[in-house]
This record gives sequence, C-alpha cells and structure tokens, in this order.
Amino acid sequence: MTENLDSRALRNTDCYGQRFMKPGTYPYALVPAGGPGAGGDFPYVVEVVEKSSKGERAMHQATVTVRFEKERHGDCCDERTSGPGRFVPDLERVTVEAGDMVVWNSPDAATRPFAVDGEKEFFGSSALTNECGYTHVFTTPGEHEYADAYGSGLRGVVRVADPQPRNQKELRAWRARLAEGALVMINDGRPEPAELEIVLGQTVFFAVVTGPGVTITEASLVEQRSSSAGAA
Amino acid sequence: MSEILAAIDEMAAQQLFDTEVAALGTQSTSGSSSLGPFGVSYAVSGTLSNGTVDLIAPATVEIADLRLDWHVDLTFQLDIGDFIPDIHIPQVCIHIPCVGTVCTPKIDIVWPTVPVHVSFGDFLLTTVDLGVALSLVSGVWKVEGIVQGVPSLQFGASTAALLAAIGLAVSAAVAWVPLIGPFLAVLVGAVVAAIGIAGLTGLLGPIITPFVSGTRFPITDVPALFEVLPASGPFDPAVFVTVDSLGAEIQHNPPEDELVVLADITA
Repeated sequence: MTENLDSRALRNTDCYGQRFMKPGTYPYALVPAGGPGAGGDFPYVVEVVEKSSKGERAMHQATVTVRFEKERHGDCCDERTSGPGRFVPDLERVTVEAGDMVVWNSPDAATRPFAVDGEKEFFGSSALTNECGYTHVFTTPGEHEYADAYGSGLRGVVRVADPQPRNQKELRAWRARLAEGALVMINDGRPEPAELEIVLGQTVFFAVVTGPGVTITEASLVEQRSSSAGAA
Repeated sequence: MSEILAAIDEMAAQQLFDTEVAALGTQSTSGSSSLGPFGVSYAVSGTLSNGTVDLIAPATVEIADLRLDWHVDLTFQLDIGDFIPDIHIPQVCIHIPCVGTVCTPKIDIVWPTVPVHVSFGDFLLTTVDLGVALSLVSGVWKVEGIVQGVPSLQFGASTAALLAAIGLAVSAAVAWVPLIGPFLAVLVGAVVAAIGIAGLTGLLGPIITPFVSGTRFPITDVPALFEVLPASGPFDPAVFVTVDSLGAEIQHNPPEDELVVLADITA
C-alpha cells in the first residue's frame, strides 16, 4: 500500500502553496507530473500587486482549483484521466498582494498527478525553494520516511497511527482530529521536527522557508530511483 | 414375451457405478448470478466420487453418501460507498510562524468501486435416487441410471466458511483504498451481512446442484439387432433377434436384489 507522498506529483490529497513577496507578473503552467515540463509555454498568471496598506497586514491566501480537461476527439474515454488533455485552473489569472500566498489543489481523486511549473526559478512544485509549502493528507497508517529526491540530504519521518475506532464515539473523535494539522518547518534542507506522529487522515504542512529546491518524497521511491540509476 | 438380457446384483452394480462415476471426471461451468445484493460472475467445477449403491425393489436405485467435491471462483464489484458513507477531510488551517495562517481546501474522499475475487472449495455428501432410462439411439438400446429430481444439497458449515472467505477477500480487495482503515471492520461486516447465509445458498444451490441432478450413469448398451448365436462357419451364419423394446426393474431374488433388464424380441 503506497502513500503517494511526493511533492512533485500533486493529487487530490495534496496542495502546493507559494508565497509571492514582490510585486510582478509570475507566469506558470500546470503540467503532468514527471513530464518534460512547460517547455516555455506558461499560459496562466499570478499577478502580484503592491500591498494595499503600508502597515502590518495579515497574509491572505488565494486558492486555485485545478481540473483536467480532455481534448475531445469523438466519443472516447474518461475525460478526467485518459488521452491527451490539459490541466486548467479555475482562474487563469489570480491577483494577490505582495506577501500573500497562492495554493493549488485538484479536488478530483481521478485526476492524474500534476505539477505547478513557474517561469521563475523559485516558483514551482517540482522543487520547493523558498516561502512555499506542500501539504499532504496521510491516508495509510505506518511509518512514512521521506527524503529529497534531488539528494540534498533532507530526511524525516511521519508516523501515522491507525485510530481503529471501536464505536461511534471514537469514530467522531477521530473525525474531529482530522481538522487539526501538523507543521514541519524546513530551513536549509533541515526539517523541524524531523520525526512527527499523527493519526490517519491528518494533514501535514511542509513549509519550506529556504532551501536549494527540494522535494518531499517517500524515501522508498527515492531509493528505488537511486538503485535503478545505479544499475543502469 | 420378455426375455432377461442382463441381471446385475448390488456388488456388480457398485463396481459399475464406481467405474462410471470415475469416468465422469471433473465437470465445470461458468456464468453469472446473484450473491445477495451483488451481481456475480462465477466459474464452478465439481467432481463426483464414492456413493453406495442400494437396489430397492421394485424400481429404486439409491446412491447413498455420494460425494461432490466442488470449487467456485467468484468475482463481484463492490461499491464501497454503498456500505459506508463518503468521508470528508475538513478544511485544515495552520499558523506558520512569521508567515501567517494557511488553509487547505476541504477534500472529499469518494470511495471507489473495487473488484472482489473469492476462491473457495469444499465437499458435500448427498443421497440420490436413480431412475432407469431406456432409449434407442442409432440402433443401440441405452440403459442408463439418471439422478431423479433435485436433491437437497446441504452445504452446512461450508456457508459459514465461505462467508468468512468473502470477508477476507473484501479486506484484501480494499486494502489499498486510502483511509479505509477505520472503516474496514464495518465494511466487511456490512458486506457479509448483506450477503448472508440466504444469499450464499441462493447462489450455491442453483450452480452446484446440476453437478448431481440429472447426471446419467450408463448401465449397459444392448444392440437392437442382438446376436444370440455367433457364426460357426461359412455356411452357419450368426443368428440375430430384434430387440423391439426394453424394460428394467429391481427384482428381489433372495438373498439378492438385482437390476434386471428385460427385452421383447422378435426373430
């Protein structure tokens, strides 16, 4: 049973968030995970304007909902998952103020994994650089070790307990806990805390303050890839 | 006038039956049916063995303790959402120091439909009555024993074991489903309860009974043109009589009961 923990491949249980500190125009694309990337075509835009007030202002958040639209060629297939198509946001252009955060999520479990690919180097879900984050709902119990697929040495563990509710009261208590998130701060490739215990269905926020461009990837996937590369 | 063509005592009948039942081998069939609330596709096989022949005058051939070893492979589609409610991960907000509060959207976890495969085998014992059937096919009278009626097959403990096997199969089939853990016991219990003993016997009875009911056991073949004297030379050909009709009955000829085949003949 796999947890699908990989910030490079966003699913319905994942979000990618990016904070934009400076005003400007930030083009981006939504691409299939593991693919060649946008190839210079960035059809969507995050427009960042100056702060509206000079004083302290709480960070605001804009959420972009991503869906997969299949190119229609006659009658064929599942529109969400099969054949050629493209990922599209509900807003092609989103405007926020400097210091605000934009969060991307696809609500459809059947949508294939995707990535946010920004034109600017710091902006993209495939390599978390700074002032950004990845959230993941853990859906399988057990010990999930994660690492950076790019080899920075980032490594941590999330232990997910199975609540095994024995009655309705315990089931309700477990459901109530699902609204509580856990936070892992990542500074220069070091997670804090490096080990975390949560209950099944809880969400972990991996907040990258600064970093060389890392991923949060289930360690077994990283090791499989390393051994495959070694064998080749 | 009826002439006796053959007489078979119980010992001979038992040997004949053992040979014939062994020759039947394993039979199999497949199809679709219902398993409680589920539509199910199945492949089932059955092998008959054993059975004690008892000839009972005037017309009953009873086979006691006839054993049927059966095996069934079932596949059905389980829509998990039919048994447990969909789950929603609520909006989760967290405060990130020096940054602010970030929230995830609500996430609906929609339970998938999964295929469930069950493979199970057992045996049962039954007692059946054979009727004697006579037919003329291509100049040969065929004398066969045919299982009469529809025997009531008793699956007994098999049903409980098969329900347990279905429960295990459901557990295995949904193991990969995200977030199923807390609901697994409820799901398995609900599926097993929905099928129930009635659902199982409703499936097993109709698909397994044909392996017993209507089964034909050849007893003997009699040529319609029956040779009563073989040829003894080029000028002394074989002598034949025509068997116009056949009859069969159980005769009590102390100390034996015998299956007797009678023929009406013309020269």
